[in-house]
Amino acid sequence: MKIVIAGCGKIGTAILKRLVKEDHDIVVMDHNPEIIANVMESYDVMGICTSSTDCASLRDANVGDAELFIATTDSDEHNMLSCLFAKRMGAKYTVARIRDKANNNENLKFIKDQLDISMVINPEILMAKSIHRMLRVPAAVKVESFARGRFEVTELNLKEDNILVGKKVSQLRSVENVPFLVCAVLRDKETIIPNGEFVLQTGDRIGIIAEPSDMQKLLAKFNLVNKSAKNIYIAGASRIAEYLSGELAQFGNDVTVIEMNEDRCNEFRDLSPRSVSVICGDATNHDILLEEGIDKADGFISLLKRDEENILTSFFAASREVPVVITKVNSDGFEDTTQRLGLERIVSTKDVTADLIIQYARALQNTVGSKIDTLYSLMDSSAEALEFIVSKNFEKLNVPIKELALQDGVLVAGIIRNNKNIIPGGNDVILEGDRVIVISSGKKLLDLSEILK
Amino acid sequence: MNVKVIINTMAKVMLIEAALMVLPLAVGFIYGEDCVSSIAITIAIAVVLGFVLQKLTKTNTKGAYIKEGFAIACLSWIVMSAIGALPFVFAKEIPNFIDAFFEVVSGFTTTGASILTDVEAMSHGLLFWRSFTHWVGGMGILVFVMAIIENPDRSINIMRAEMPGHALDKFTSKSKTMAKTLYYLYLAITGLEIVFLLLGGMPLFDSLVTAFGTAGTGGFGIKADSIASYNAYCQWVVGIFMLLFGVNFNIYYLLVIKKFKNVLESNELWTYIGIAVGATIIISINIAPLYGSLSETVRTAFFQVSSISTTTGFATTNFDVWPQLSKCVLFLLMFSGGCLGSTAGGIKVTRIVVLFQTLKNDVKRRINPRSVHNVRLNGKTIDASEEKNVSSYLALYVFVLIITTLLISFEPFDFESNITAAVSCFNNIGPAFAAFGPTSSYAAYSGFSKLVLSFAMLAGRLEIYPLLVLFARKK
Repeated sequence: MKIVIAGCGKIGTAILKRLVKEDHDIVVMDHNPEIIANVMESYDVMGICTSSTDCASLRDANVGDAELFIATTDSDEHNMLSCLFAKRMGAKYTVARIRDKANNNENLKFIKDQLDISMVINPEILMAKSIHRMLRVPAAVKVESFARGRFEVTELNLKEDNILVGKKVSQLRSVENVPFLVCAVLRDKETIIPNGEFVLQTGDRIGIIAEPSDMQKLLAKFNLVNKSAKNIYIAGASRIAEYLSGELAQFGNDVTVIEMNEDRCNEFRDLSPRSVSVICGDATNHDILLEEGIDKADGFISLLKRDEENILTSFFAASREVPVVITKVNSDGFEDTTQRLGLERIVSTKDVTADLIIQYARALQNTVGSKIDTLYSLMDSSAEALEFIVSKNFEKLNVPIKELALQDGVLVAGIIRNNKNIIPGGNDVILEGDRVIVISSGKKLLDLSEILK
Repeated sequence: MNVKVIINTMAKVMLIEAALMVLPLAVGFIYGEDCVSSIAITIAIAVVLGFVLQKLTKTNTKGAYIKEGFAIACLSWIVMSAIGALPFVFAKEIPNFIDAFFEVVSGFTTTGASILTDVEAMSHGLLFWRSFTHWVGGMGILVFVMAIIENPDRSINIMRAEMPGHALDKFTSKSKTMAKTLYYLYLAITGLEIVFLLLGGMPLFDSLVTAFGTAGTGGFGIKADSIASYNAYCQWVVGIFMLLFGVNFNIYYLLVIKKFKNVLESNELWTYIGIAVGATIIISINIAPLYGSLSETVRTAFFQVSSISTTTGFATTNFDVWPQLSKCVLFLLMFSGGCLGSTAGGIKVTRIVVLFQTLKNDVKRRINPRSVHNVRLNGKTIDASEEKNVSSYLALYVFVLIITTLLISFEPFDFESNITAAVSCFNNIGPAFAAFGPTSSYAAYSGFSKLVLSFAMLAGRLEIYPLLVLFARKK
């Protein structure tokens, strides 16, 4: 698929990195010659050093033949304009990053319709949503919902005292009454899609798929904290904090935002609901955190500007035994190290955005056979959960799953039939019209039939 | 350094070379010659070696960074030449391995310098292989490998090491598509030349071999007098096609996608054509007394100019007997070469265009320090770091040339012979002056000098930097 990415900052690069892996034809536009030189050296793409709103350059990039045009410069106006140009020149779908708060929902809808933009992304809102999901199920490292909230995948790290340690995957299913599946295991940097004989160990990071209502019960059975975080501290009154505190307040949480800059504090005060308390102070200062009652916090979210500040502040919060600490980290290198040092919940704006774009690109690319409806990446992007709608062309309709010769590293993890959720066992079958959730590691599946050997 | 990806790519190169050798094998069969067995043995060796190395290095390799790209380019070319030399040795047509290595390096680097004293005694199969190496080496074997085989990550670094010109402006988003496009263009223009030559009454074998020599801007002839014995029409065809292969292939791509405006803006193209026309006029006037008719004078002048400036090295006359002025013009043409991104060698007109502008700007800046200037190439301003790259390349170029000349000066030849031989090999031309003129061969050099010249040829073809990897200290 031919894709043009206009603007190659942090988010643009994250998107590029993921799209290159999917073997697309990619043209990158940026006005910074250094970025272009760097990108062309690292990836097999064509780079054009130019403004994204320059018609001649858009023509050079052959935007007319592009299936997807993604505008991710740091200027909303540039993004809108270049999407409009691209669309008029013949690009099939356009995606614009629009983050200005002034563009509220009504504005956005108008802009989207008038400029014929296929999707508008606001990375900050995406981040706020993703953090909120993590807070709802505190024991989890990461929660993703599928099929419009019908299934959830929760990723958690197995500690020594967890009852799952030392159990075979097949045992687990019979022990508990609640239907669930262990759908992926990350061990020693390698992602495994487990079969029934797989034995779980301390230190594994596992992904569990279940219905959202069952997830709480499950976590309780596994002896994992299931008290939802109530008293939440946010360090740094960033724009993400703005969206997040609004959303949290709506759900009845107590939110405290700590920000150093006084002007920003006042601004933030005006913008957020009354139940949010705003503290003017340095969140990296331990005394201030202690004074504000960090010891009683259920959750601490570090959204400061610099990665280093976020990491160190999070370590302090963790040392005060705050049950849920979420750290925003932008640099790829830090993400990995921080996780190894013990901070489990790392979020990054660019990954959240790239996930969404990849999902969109995949959905576009797939027009034949069973269609991927949505795609989520699990386990640090090393495994993927794909949702297919089964067409009548699928060869193995009505065959029990245990008799399907499945590829290695592929698991049928969920079926939705007539509005009913099924966590499939060996005797379940796939029927026409089902929505099937497949977990796959390492392989690119574009069609449901590709899960078969 | 990622050694696995280097060896793995080299293994692929060996397999591809084995596949390419099937063509001369077929030619040998058609003519019923003895060289068939020696080619077959070489193919067997290359296939076995290639498969074994491929098996040994089969991993999901991490990709080639700049350093790996350089190492791959440099080592592949050496390995390829060593294997390519084997049939000549096995068939005893060039019994000495160093001689055969020199000959094949000269082939792959599209130099066309030969150690053969009697070309016409060679078998057709090996003559075909010898010229075919020009065709393969012209566009680059790694580019070929990339066009047809699955590539490691960052494979652009491999392509860049072998074909520096195209990296400047990549015209498709994937290097694989680009490699394919380049080869299609290359194939199409070569095909066109073969057709034109056949129309002029040249025998099929001669047309093929001559077209290969022209396309790669190589210059191996299959006759003792190079192209001189073919008719005037064929000489014109070869002369014009040589000039065409010295043009940046991006120009042809722009023509194919109908961006004529960009073609007109290409100052490198116009300079290139200007140099060829100017040199032809000067030489025509200078050599007019030696030849009968005007048409013969112009044809001879144009052919030699085209041949030397594109670094091909075909000849229709012994230009060593020309007056000093003409010889001097030819000598200067040896340096300028073709355009970047073509199959030609030399410093390249593109760099000269940049150098002259840099120089002009510097002079202007001396006179008026406050004046602001820029360097434009093909309608775009190039930035200071690129200007600097060109200047430092020139310095490196001169340095390598001096070293080469020094190393071969142990030989009992006069200064003119030695320096022109070094210039000719380093710029991938072929014939030099005096003792190594178009009618003589390099056979007289010792084994050591032949190796030195072989490396000079490789340095010229790969534009020096990849070879420096050999001397870089390990970290």
